[in-house]
Amino acid sequence: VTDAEWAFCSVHELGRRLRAGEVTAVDLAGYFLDRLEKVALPLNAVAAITPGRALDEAALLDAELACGLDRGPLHGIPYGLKDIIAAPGVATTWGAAPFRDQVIDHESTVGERLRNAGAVLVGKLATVELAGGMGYEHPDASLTGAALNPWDTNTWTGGSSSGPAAATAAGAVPFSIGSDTGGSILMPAAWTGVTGLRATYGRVSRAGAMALCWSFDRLGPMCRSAEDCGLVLEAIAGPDPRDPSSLPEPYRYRGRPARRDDFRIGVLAGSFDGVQGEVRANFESAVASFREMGKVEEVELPDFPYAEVAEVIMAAEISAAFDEFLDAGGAAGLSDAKAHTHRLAATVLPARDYLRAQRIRRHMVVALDQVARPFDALIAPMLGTVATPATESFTGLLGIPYPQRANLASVTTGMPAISVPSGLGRGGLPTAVQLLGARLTENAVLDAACALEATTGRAGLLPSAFIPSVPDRHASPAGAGSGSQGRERQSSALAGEA
Amino acid sequence: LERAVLAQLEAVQSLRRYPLKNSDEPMTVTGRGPGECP
Repeated sequence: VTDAEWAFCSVHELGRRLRAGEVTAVDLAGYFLDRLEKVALPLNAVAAITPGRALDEAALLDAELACGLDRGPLHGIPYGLKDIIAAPGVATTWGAAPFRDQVIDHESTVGERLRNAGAVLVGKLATVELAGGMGYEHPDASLTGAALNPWDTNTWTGGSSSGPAAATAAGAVPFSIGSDTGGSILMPAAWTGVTGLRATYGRVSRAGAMALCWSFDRLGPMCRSAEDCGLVLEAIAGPDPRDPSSLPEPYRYRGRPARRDDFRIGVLAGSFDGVQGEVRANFESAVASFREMGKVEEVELPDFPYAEVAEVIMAAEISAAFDEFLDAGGAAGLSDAKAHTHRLAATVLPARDYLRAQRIRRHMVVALDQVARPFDALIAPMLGTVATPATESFTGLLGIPYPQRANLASVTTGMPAISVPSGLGRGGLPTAVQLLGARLTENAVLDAACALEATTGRAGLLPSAFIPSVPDRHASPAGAGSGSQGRERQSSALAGEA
Repeated sequence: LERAVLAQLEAVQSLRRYPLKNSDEPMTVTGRGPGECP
């Protein structure tokens, strides 16, 4: 076993090696700090690297382990934080030029909980400016430029959690924390072949994170597997007096399930209409896997104006959250032309129409819960296409109606959703499915995601140019910039294989 | 800006077609209804 394999180890596997004495927390911190600099920085995935804090904390965690103090599965595991989340002693730029010097010198609740769980912050990761909330049409709408997709560096990662997606997919961090208002965890996870979880609204405190749209915003893990998402979620979930939206219910991950044949999966009717052929084939393959593991039924997504409700609520809340910034003309300092004026439209949005959207939303929550409750999960393709070029506007390319409709159903209703890799599509780029669950049923959704990963082996998909060669402990992406680099590769060290 | 206003207007008009009762309460920014805050 060499450290070349660390890059793509699961949290579970890194923890096993740590406890077996094969590696120390300082080794891991040093290794991933190096990967961030040499691998993730050229992908425009990094906002800041935090070596001082990381190495100090890792040394302390090694000492604790030597004394028999084990903080649990995340003890000594490095991670990265999307740069809309504060961390003391380092800038929190929100990915936007007007905030490039902003320092929010306190720990976010998520950061505090991860620190208490023994995880080691190695860097802040790139984001689309203001998490894309002011509107954007180009992948380079970020202080750090367009985040490049490790599967093909001519393509984009998707946004707005672009840095967490790129860094996790490239093996530069074992896991990361992203944020999601309208799909910002799930969409980049899908395009980069990582597993991204948007837990039930209120599960994870947003204290210390940039507020974009209060009634939609969620933070969540982006990992190599559903099992890792569960481990991270357990560490960061739970009530928090600093976030009035946080739920009182505690959360405990029950671990990867034994093989089951009693899954109940609802296939959202017509969900592959208009998607690329490979996206559909991989989706149908995932559904076929579930047929082998239980009962699969077709269900209809209740008929609601999901996109319109999302649009009106986001317009009102985002423009209110940034009212001083907008009133002062701050949007003119953003890099994407769309962002200069897009949110000014809300100045002519009547309050009663915002409230109407919130009233319709209540009906959506009830109806969606009734549809989802009998199932472990509902399934649909995550996005209709593979990743799009990093240098072109993506307007019109993301709008495959049905997958976006399913995504917006879970965005607006606060139900949990996970993006799970489903295979490779056009150009050797990743495709994914989304699994949606009823409110507070993360464990059922994670079980289904774990089972799918174990059956299809899709958690083992890796971008080959970013796999370090065994003799070279500090390999860098040799083929970066040279087009499609993805291929299917399994490793015994991968999530789901340990 | 004109594009954004027109898109917003279309969304609003679509929502105005959705039937609501006088007693239908809105969700709030906490994701819950006014009577459901912890």
